[in-house]
Amino acid sequence: MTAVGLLAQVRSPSKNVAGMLMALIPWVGLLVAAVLSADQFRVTVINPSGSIAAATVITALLHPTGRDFFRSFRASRVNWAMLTLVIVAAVPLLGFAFTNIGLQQTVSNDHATMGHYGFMAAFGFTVIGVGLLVSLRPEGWRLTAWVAGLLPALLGLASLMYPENSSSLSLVWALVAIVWGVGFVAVAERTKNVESLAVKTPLMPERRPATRPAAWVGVLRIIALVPILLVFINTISTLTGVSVPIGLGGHTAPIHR
Amino acid sequence: MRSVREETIQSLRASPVFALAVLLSLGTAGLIGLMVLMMQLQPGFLGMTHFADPRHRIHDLTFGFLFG
Repeated sequence: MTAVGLLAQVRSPSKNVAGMLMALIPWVGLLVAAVLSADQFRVTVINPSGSIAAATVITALLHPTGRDFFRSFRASRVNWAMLTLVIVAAVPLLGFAFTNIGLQQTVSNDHATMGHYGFMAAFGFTVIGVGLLVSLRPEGWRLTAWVAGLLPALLGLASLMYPENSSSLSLVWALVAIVWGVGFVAVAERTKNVESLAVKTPLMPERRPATRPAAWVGVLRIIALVPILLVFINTISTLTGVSVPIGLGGHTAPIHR
Repeated sequence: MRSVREETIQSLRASPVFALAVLLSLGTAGLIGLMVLMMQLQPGFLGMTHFADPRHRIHDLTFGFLFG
């Protein structure tokens, strides 16, 4: 989901602000799950997501739309059918999330040790968050609608494939998740042509800067790239086992005299 | 109507710093995905046997759906 949202930014980022926000939502969900379960270390720290989270947040801050990022968010663009579907799904999703938060707090097995119940809680919050985002129909919402529908459908399918696994949905809930996901995408596609009433309402004219951005803005943008570059180099270092002395957890060989 | 390639090239030229940030972030995600794949193909890779354990499949897949 994060990768899909980032990938959408390669082509016309100004037309894909929904994708940029979608890439951030799982981190918010994970953070909420970590805070509510009072288990930040196991839910957020001991997994590789943190490095991508930092890179995604910095990327979002560098988004070329700048102050116009939220320009396409308007009450007149809300799709009430999709919003209703999200509100209906929010009830079991919140139940699912809080059940897993409870498990993360109370159970002492290897799933809890690795923060897995926190991930499942984050999943519940993420589906709600992305569903709400799609209902607002900002620029690039259609890709996001497909992802919002696919997420529960994929969890339903995975649960059918691994019914004995911990956190696997029961047969009924797996089918409900699949049906809801397919239904959500169908409603999004069915109503995309109805959008003309709302979405084609003229937006505020795009603000153009009167002058070129100051040189220091460009310098700040380049400086902001440095942490992402360090994370990238550190990941390569971990994968290849080649130590890079950049102080991000790499170990250097002891010096023998 | 412009092709995907033309739009992509124009976006890269218009905001090169942002484009580089996106590509580096995607690259990091891709490398982590590669690590996970290696852990499945070669249990014990980087000292991790976790992703080869079928008991964690639902959790691993959910993590992949969210952050992949």
